[in-house]
Amino acid sequence: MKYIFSATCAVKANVLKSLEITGYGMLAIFIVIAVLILLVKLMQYSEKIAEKRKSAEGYKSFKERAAEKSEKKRGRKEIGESDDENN
Amino acid sequence: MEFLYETVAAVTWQQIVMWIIGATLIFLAIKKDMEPALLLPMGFGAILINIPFSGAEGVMSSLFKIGIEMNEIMPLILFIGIGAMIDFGPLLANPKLFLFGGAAQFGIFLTILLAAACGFGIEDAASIGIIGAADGPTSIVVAQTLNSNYVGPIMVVAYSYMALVPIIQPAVIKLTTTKKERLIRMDYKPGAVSKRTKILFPILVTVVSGLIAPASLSLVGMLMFGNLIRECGVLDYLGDTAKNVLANLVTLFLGITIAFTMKAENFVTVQTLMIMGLGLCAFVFDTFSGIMLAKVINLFAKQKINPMIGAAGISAFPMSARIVQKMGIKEDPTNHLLMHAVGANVSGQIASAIAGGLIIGLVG
Repeated sequence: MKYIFSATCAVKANVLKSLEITGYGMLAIFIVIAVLILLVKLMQYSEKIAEKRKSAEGYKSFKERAAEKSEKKRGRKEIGESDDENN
Repeated sequence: MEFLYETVAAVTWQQIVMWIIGATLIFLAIKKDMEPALLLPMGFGAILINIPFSGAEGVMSSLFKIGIEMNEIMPLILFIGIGAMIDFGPLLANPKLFLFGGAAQFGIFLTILLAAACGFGIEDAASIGIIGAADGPTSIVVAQTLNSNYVGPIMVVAYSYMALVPIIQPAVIKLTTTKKERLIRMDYKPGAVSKRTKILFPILVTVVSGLIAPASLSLVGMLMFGNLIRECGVLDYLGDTAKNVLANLVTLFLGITIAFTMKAENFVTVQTLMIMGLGLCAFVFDTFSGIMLAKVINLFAKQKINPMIGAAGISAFPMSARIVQKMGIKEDPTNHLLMHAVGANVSGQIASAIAGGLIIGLVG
């Protein structure tokens, strides 16, 4: 009788533990999945926006803008130098 | 002359049962083409290991120790090959399909509950439940990490039911869906998934699953590493090696190595029969829960989902997706569900690896 009682208790404890595993397990899986769905959607959204900006008129890439800036700077410097020479 | 019949006299009835099981596995592999790459080596190994005083025990035990017992190296390497085979494109084109991969893991947890109620210890119950992952390497890693007493039966049952997916799933799908539901059409817009997204995806999955379930990283990490090799575009030769040579080589050894655990004294038991029953429950409930999630979503969604897609959420890749496509075409020859099913199917692959890691973390 004692054996049956202890065996039943062990099974009960295991069932409770497995219920806990089920709860935490499914919750964690869906959290991971939800985060992944959000990140993938975000990635695709940002790509869409980038595409739109690229296709817009007058769009200049980062490289082009940087080159333009450096050219402007160089132009200013050259003007400055020629002013110095004139003086 | 004694040496001639010494071995014959030592044969037990349990060993004869194992020979029959081995022969059956070989028969199923050759005649029925059921997972032949694994069932054939397992069947042959089952005969090999169950001959009294078997001289093959030494080599098989060494393979087992190196390949599986020490850090489960073989199944994890196989995961690199599997990762290199998978194209996540259909899933990335419709990320909502991820949900079905998650839902279809419910069978794992329900089976753990049933196994615990049947009197199995929590480690064994968890190892039995993971049969529902429908993924051999994950089952091996979990059962071995949790030191289950039933690694052999779990492997045989897992691979046998994976081979039986074309029989189990259509029956469950037909029982739980109406003809009207099976006729639901779903448009597939092959939204261009950029190369950048495909490259970033495996890294994201690794980081996110690692932060939430770090124990799953051995499985998810290897799977995603294989996929990154495939998608990066500069390592095609490694990708080809991983999905062909590496995967074949590991599979070759894996089957015969697993057979080491199929010794008659551990295998011919009532528990093995119980594991077979519980494994079937796992596959049935996996399919059922995927279908049910699709039905629940249909209650609220404008664009209806064919509930059969939910069934493809189990990670038996690509069988499950093929079954859904076949059943869809049978109901309506113009209704092609393959790409949606493949999306759900590959999401099941990720979710089952995460589930395996979570179980190791929660039980171990």
